Amino acid sequence: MSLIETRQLTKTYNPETVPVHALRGVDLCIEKGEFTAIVGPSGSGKTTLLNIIGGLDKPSSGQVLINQTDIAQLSENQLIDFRRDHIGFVFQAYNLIPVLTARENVSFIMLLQKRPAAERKARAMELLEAVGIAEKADVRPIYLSGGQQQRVAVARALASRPDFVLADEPTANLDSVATKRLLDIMARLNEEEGMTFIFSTHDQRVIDRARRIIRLEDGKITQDETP
Amino acid sequence: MLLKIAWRNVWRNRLRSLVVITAVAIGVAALLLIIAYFQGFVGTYVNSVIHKELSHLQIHPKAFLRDREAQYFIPQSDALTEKWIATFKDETTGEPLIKAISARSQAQGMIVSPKASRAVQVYGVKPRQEKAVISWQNMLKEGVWFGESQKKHPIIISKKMAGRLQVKLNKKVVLNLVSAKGEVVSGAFRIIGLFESHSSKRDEVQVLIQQKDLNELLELPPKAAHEIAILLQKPGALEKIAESLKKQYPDWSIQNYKELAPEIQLFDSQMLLMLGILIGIVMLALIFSIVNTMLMAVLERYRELGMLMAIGMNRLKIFGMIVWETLILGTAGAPIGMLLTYLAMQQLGTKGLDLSAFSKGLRAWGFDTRIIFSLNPSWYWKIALTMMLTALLAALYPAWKAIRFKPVEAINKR
Ligand SMILES: Nc1ncnc2c1ncn2[C@@H]1O[C@H](COP(=O)(O)OP(=O)(O)OP(=O)(O)O)[C@@H](O)[C@H]1O
Ligand SMILES: [Mg+2]
Repeated sequence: MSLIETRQLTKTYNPETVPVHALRGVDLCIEKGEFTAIVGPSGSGKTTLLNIIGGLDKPSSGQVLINQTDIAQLSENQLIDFRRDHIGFVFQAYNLIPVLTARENVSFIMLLQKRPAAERKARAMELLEAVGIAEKADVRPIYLSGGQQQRVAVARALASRPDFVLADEPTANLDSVATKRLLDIMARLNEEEGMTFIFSTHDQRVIDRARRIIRLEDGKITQDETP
Repeated sequence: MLLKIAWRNVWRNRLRSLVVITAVAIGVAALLLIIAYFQGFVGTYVNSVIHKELSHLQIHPKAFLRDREAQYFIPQSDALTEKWIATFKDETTGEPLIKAISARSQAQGMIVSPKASRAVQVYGVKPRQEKAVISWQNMLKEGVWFGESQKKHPIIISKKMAGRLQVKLNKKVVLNLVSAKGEVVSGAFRIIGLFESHSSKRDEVQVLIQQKDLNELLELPPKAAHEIAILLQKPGALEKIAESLKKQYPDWSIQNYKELAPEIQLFDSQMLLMLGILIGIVMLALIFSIVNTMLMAVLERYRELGMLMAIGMNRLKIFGMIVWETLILGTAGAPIGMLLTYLAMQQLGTKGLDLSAFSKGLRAWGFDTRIIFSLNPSWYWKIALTMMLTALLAALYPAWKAIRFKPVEAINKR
C-alpha cells in the first residue's frame, strides 16, 4: 500500500472554451520516505499534478488516494483539515504570514491543530534549529533573505507532522548557495527523519539530488527513474 | 493568535488605518455632541418652562378650566397649600417634597390706558409665594415687585404690553373684568414693575396684581384661588404627588408640566427620531469607509489568505480573523471620540453655547439663547455598542470575500 497513489489522473482547464489538457492520464505511486523530483519542461503539468495531489485542485477524472483515502470524497472543509494534518506545503513564494515572526509562523500551523502551547514552542524552536535559522526566530519574514524564508517554510511544513511534504519549485527564487543549503536540509530531514518529499523543479542541480525522478511531458509521465 | 494577527494586520498599512480610526473618532464625537446639544436644548427649554412659567404641577377646578368663570374657585387655598407642604414628605429623609406653592386667582378681561386697550389674562398672586415658585426676579426688568412699593393697587405688566398701551412705570391703567356674580367690574391700578418673560406670546397677555386686590374686585372670598402651582424639590416625586391629589380631589384637574406644555413631548419624540436618523447616516458613512478599507486590505492579501487556506486554516478561522481585524479598525476610534466628547463637555456642559446670534426666533418660541449641553452618560455605551455593531456589520462582506478565495488560484498566480 502506497503513501500516494494516483489512478488515471486527467486535468483539462477550460473544458468548455479553449480546452487545455494539462494532465492526460497520470498513474503514479509514491512510497513513504521517498525524495522525489517531478521534472519536465514548462507547461508540462508539474504544478497541476502537485496541486491535485495536495488537494488544492480537483482532477477532471481519475483518483488520488492518500493512505487509501480518496480525497475526492472529502468536502471542501474536510479537505482543509486534511491538508492541515497530512500534507506539508512549501510554495515558491508567499509562504509566510508577514505579520508573524519566523517562530510564530512555525507555531501557527500547530495552533491550527490545537497542539498544546509547550509542544508548539519546543517543536518550533527545534525545527528552526534543524533548518539552521534559530537565531532569526523572532524576526519577521521581510527581514529574512529568500533562502532563509524558504527554510522557515520547510520548518513550517514539517511542524504539523505531515505524511509528506509537497514543494512546487521551492528553489525557483533562490541563488545557488541558498539552493544547495535548502536541498541539504531537505535531504537530511528525509534521511534522518524519513520525511517524504515531493518537489518539482527545472534546476539540474536540484534534479541531481533527487533519489527518484519523474519526468512529465505534455501531461504524461515519460520517464520514471531511480538513479 | 487570531487576535494578534488581526491587530498586527491593522497596523500593516498605518496611514490607511489611521484615516478610518480618525473618521470613527470624529463620527462618534460629533454624534455624542449633537445628542448633548439636543438634550441640552430640550433640557434648557423644559427648565425655563418650569421655572419661569408652569412649575411642576398645576391644579384648577375642572369647571373653571371649562368655563373660565370666577365663580368656580378653590376655597381656603392657603390652608390647603400648607397642609400639602406638611404631608408630602420624602419617605427616607423626611424632607418636604414640595419646594414652594403659589395659589392664584385668575380673570380674563380688558386693560385700558388713556391711549389703548387690550385683552388680558389677570393673575392675582400672593407676592412672596409667587416669587418662590416662579423666578420673577429674573424677568422683572424695570420697577419693583409687590410689597416693595408703597403704592396702592399695584400692577406688574410686560414691557411689551406697556409699549402697546403707551404707558410707563408709575402710570395708571384700568382693568375691566367680570365678577363672580357675573357683573362687569373695574378697578384702577398703578404700574410698579415691567417684566419680560422667556416667551413673547405670554408677554402679550399676562398681567399680575395682588390676590387680595383681584379677589376683592371679583367679589370672591380673600382666600379663593383658581390655580395652584406647585414647584417640587425633585421632579422624581411628581407622579406620586399627582396621583395622590387626583384621588383626593376628583373635581379638580391636576396637570403636570408635560401635559400643560405638550410641545415638550413633541420635542422628545422629534428629538429621538432626528437622532435615530442622524445616527443611521453617520453609521452608514462609517460602514462604507470601514468596508472600503477592509476590502482593500483583503484583496491585496489574497495570496496570503490563499496560502493560509492551502496549509489548512479553515474558513471559520479566516472569517474570524477578518472580523477581528475589522472590529479593531472600526472601534479603535470610538474611545478617542468619547474622550474628545468628554473634554468638550467640560466646557459645553457648564458654560454652554451662546446662540444669541440666532436668538430672535428662539425667544419668540420661548427658548433660552444659551444652550447648556447635557449628555446622559448612558449615551456613551449606547454609541459604543452601536459602533461595535456597525463594525461587525462592516466586517461581514470583507470576511465573506476572504473565504471565497480559491487557494490554488491565489498560490499559483504570478
Ligand atoms: N488555471 C489555469 N487555467 C488554464 N490553463 C492552465 C491553468 N493552470 C495551468 N494551465 C495550463 O496547463 C498546462 C500545465 O500547466 P502547469 O502550471 O501545471 O505546468 P508546469 O509544468 O508547472 O509549468 P512551469 O514549469 O512553467 O511551472 C499549461 O499549458 C498551462 O498553461
Ligand atoms: Mg509550475
